Amino acid sequence: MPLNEILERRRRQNIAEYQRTLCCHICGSAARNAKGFSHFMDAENNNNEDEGPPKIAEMRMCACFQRPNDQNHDSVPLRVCEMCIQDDALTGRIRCCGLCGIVACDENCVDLVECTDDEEWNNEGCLECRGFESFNEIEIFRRRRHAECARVNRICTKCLNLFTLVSLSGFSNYQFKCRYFKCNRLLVQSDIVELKRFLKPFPVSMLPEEMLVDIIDFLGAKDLVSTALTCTTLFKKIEKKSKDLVESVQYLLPNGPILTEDCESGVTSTNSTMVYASGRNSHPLRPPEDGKTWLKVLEKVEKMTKDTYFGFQVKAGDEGCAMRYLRSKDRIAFGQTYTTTAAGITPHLPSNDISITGGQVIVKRFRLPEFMLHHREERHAAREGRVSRAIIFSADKMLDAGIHRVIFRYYCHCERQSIGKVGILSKSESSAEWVGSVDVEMSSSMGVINEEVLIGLEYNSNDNKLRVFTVDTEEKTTRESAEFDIPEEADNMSFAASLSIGSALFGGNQVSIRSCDPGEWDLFMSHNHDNNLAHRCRGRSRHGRADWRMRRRMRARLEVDELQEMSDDDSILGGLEEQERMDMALDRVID
Amino acid sequence: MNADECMETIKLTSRGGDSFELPYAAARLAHVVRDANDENDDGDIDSPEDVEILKVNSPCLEKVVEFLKHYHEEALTEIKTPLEDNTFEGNVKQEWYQNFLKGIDQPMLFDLVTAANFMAIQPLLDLTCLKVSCQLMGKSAEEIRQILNIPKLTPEEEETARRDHRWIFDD
Repeated sequence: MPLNEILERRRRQNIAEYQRTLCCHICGSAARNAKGFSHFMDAENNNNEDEGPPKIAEMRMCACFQRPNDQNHDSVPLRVCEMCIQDDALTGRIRCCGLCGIVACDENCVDLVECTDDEEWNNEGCLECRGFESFNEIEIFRRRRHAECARVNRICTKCLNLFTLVSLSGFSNYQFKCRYFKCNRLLVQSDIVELKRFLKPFPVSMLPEEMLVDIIDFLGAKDLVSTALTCTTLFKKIEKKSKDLVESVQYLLPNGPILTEDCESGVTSTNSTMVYASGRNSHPLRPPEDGKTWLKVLEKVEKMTKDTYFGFQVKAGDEGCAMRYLRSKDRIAFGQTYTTTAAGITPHLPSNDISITGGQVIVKRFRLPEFMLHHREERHAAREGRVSRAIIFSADKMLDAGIHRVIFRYYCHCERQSIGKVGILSKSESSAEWVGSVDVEMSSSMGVINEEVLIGLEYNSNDNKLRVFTVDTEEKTTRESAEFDIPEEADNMSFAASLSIGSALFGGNQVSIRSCDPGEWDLFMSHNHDNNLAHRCRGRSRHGRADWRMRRRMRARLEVDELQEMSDDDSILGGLEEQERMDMALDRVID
Repeated sequence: MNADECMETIKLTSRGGDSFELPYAAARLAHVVRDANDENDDGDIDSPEDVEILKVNSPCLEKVVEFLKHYHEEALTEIKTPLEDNTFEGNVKQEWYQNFLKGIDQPMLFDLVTAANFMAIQPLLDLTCLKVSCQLMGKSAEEIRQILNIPKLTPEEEETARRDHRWIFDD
């Protein structure tokens, strides 16, 4: 109980007198200080003017003083001096918040939580239920956590929330209710209150919400995860920010589900993990129902962006490049798609097996491209080497005056060394043509393991030249490998990349494009000097070769099975075409 | 009279009653000063008056005034987002602004953020928020807790958090 019965009865009886004299309800003095009760009279008797008038002691008043007309609360307001509160620190008869100092005349005046000694969170009961008269009777309150002051014995709910230890799942209930006799008095562990008392409210809780957004706006996904794990306030802000960011860049990436794949890196046998979106969902990227955390999606999106666009740059130590890209407004993406036919390069609507999102192309599954099924003559021509078939992806930005730099990244495996072409495409409404291009080749002629190939293109409109920069695998340097004069009459030009038919067959093959500012271009030009070269596949062990053959046969068998199923279902394929495809697939199995 | 060309000085008074004098042309970077002097959209005012900033304490207001005075002489280059670097010095190239926040303690930094927000001084707000962000970059959750003075989760809290947001704890 806050004040023992005798004290409380006396206070209530003399309340009118106390109010008139403005004295402390406990000690009855209006001017008690460290010198005691008599100094006020001494000061009055002393006519020394230098000392000034005697000072009235500092008093604390309970909340009822601020609401004297509260009809719902039949209270007897409490005024108490600092000295009495100090005296009462160990006993706890005066209801008082140990942090903000507000006092309460009774249980309904201010919501106070009682401190207790329980460490295991299993209720031991409140002071009254345990039959104690003061906090002194609990062992923990006899120990001083800090030498200069006694432990707090009560804390108001406002301070409990303001000084809260916060969790991810919202403000957690540090207090628990006393279950003895179902008194339901709120209790809190004393050690926690002491922690709050000496740590003081953390600055984040004092900042306005928009400040938190400003602060987290500068952070990358990894830092956001670390920050989110610290407290609820930040977690909620970060979660909202992550959702907004993921939704703003969803169009740059294929749909989910998000998959993680271990990648082996050729002869170096270095393993790395690659995260990619497989593009099979009908909805854009979002967190799963059983673990709704947009922040984690953002982390995966950042990793995917690194893997897709910035592999070498991250290896060179630029960890923030992906997040800069995601937050940037100036991005280049693939636009129109073309295909090579006997008639030249013509616009083409890609099949569903190839996903084109933002600046990324990904082959979703191993399958013959759709357009091959409908152009038998052309396929024959391709087989005979008359036409080099390819799917071409042109950038959505036209090349206007100035210097333009892009980096193409291929991450492919293919049965042939040549996997595509990059350069500048001059486009008209119904056709297009390369005005400067170079073949993209893997270092190995028999790729079964994905290999990263980086190519930088620089177009300068002042001298109408296209320069191609590739990585020299022997010297581990980036060097200019080709230069083209772009015809002055060429117009509607844009950067473009193509996938040869051979490389468009393999699920998981990727091409990406991104524009570079001068800083990033310098990094690209210099990164290999520090041997930060992306691991490349140079040949294959005997074991690897056998493995490759086995995989190739399995793919061919799958294709045969698929064709047989389609044939059984009376599919759209004509008999001759179907037979030819079957023959091709069976050839591979036999081979 | 045009506020940009105003040569008069005003005093900003802190919560503690301390006054700091500075040219009105420098002080008007704070929107709260402009509003208090009824500056119109064209930047015209009659005669500038002193302003009480009761929500800001004296040491903090002193730093704010220092910032305002210098900003009037050498404006802070706009901080580009997304950031170009992971360090404060990498993003703020001007030496004076680098030194302005060097060595100040954590409570003062957060006081400055709050003061910049209250007084609506956008460049100071950007600068201080960037400083806080850079302090958090590359740090573990435990280190961030120490920087921001956030107490550690109790086992019970952590268990609840892991249950509610399982995915975020998975590596």
